[in-house]
Amino acid sequence: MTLSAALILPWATGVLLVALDGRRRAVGLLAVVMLLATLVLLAVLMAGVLADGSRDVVTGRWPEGVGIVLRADTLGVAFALLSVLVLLAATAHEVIAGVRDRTFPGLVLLLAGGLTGLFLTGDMFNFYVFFELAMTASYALSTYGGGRRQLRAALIFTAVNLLGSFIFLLSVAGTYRTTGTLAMQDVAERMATVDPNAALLIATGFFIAFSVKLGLFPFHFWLPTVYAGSAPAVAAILSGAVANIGAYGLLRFGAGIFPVELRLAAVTLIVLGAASLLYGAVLAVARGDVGETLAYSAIGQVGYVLVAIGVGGPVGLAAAVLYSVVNSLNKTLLFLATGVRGALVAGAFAIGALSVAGVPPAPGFVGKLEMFRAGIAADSPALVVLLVVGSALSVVYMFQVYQHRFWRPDPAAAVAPSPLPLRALTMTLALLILAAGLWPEPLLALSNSAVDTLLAGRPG
Amino acid sequence: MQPGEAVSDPLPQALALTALVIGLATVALLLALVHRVVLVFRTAERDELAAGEAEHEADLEVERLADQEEAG
Repeated sequence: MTLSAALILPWATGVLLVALDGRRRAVGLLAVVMLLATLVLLAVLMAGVLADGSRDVVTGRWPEGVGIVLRADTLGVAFALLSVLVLLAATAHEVIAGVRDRTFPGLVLLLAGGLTGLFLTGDMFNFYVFFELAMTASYALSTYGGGRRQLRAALIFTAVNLLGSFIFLLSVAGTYRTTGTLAMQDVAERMATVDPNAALLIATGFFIAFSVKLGLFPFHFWLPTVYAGSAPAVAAILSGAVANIGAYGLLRFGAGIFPVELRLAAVTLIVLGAASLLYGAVLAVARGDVGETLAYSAIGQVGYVLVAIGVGGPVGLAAAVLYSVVNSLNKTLLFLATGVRGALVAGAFAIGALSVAGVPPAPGFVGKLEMFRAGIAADSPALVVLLVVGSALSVVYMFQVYQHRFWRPDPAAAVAPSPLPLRALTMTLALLILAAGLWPEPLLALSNSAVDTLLAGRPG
Repeated sequence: MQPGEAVSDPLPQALALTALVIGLATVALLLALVHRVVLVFRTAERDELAAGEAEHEADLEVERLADQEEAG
C-alpha cells in the first residue's frame, strides 16, 4: 500500500503540476509539500522494511511470476529516500530563490516518480521504463535557466545519456534472450547457467550504461561541461539524485545479478575506479572555476564507489553504499551553496568541503573510514595509499575553492546577499549533514542492512 | 488453433512496443532541444557550438593568471 502510494503520489502530482505555471509561488510550494509527503511515505516504508524485511507487490493482481514485481528492500528504499531528500532540498532552494521556468516544479516531481520507481522495482524492463521517465525529466530539467551555457550542457547531457540508455536496453534484450525472464530474482538464479561469454557481454553493457550515468572515467567526458554549465539547483539534482541511478545500478545489477562477472572483473573495476579517483582529483586541483572543480571532484568521488564495489564482499559493498549516500549529500550541499551569497554560506560550504575531504566530524570521515576498512579487507597497501592520496588532493582543491570564493574581496561583492531563508536552508542542509557525521550509527546500520538484503537475494 | 501448437512469445513484442514509444518520445525531446539550440546559437555546426566553450576556457585562463600574480 505504502509502496504503491510512494510511486503514484509524485507521478500524479507531477503530471498535474507540469500543466500549471511553476513560477507562481503556490505551485512551487505545492511541489515542495508533495516531495515532503513522498519522503514521509518512503520513511514509513523504510520503517516497515527494516522491521519485517523486504516487501513484494505483484502489479495488477497477476499471479506470481507473470505480473511485474515491485520490490521494496533496504537498498532500494535507502536510495529512494536519499534521492527524494536531495530533490526536496533543491526544489525548496529554487522556490525560495524564485523559480524561473514554468515547468520546473512539475519536472522535479516526475523525476522523483521515476527515481522512486526504478529504486523500488524488481523487474529489469520496468527498471528501464522508470529509468527513461527519470532521464527524460532530467533532460528537460538540464535546460533550466535557459542561458547559452545551459542549453549547450543540456544538448551534451541528452545526447550522451540517450546513448547510455540504448546500451542498457540492448543488455536488457540480451538478458531476456539468454535467460527467458526479466524478473531480477529469476535472472540472478538463471544467470549461472548462461554461457559465460554471453553473460560477460551483457554485464559489460550494464556496466557501461551505469558508468555513463555516474560519470566514471573514461565515460566522464560529458560531465564537467554539464555540471558546471547548468543552474546550481539543477547541478545539485543531477549530481545528488540522478547520479544515484549509476551507483544503485552497479550495486543491484553488479553485486545482485552478476556476482560471478563482478568477481571476474574485480581488478579492472579497481583500476578504473583508481584512475577515476586520481584523474578527477588532479583536474579538480588544476581548474579555477568553482563549478568545474566540483564537477571533477564528482568524477573523483565516484571513483571511490567503484573501488569499493571492486573490492566487494560485505565490507566493500557496505562502504560503497555509505560512500554513495555521503557523496550525494555533499555534492547537493556544495552545488546549492555555490548559488547563494552572504553570511552563513561560507560556513555551510566549509562543512561540505570538510566532508568531501573526509575530515571529522563531517560524515565524509565515516565514508573514508569505511573505504579504508575495505582497502584493508582487500589486503592491499597500494589501495590504502591511493585513498590517502585522493583525500589529500581533495583537501587541496576544496580549500582552493573555499579560499577563492570566500576569502578574497569578490569583484561581485556589490551583489546583494541572498535572502535569509535561502541562506538558512543551505545552513540547515549543512547541519543535517554534520549531524549524520556526528551520529553515524544509523547510516552505518542502514548500509550494512542494505548489503545484507542484496547478498541474501542472490543464489548461494 | 490446436492445443499444444507452438505460439509466439508475446513478451518481446510488448517490450519492443514499449521501447519504441519511449524511443519516439526521447527523439522528439532531442529534436526540440536541437531546434532550441539552433534558434539561440543560429547554428547547428559542432565547431561553432564549441567556440563558446573555448571562450569560457580563455576567461578561466585570465582568472588563473590574475590569481598567480596575487599569490606572487
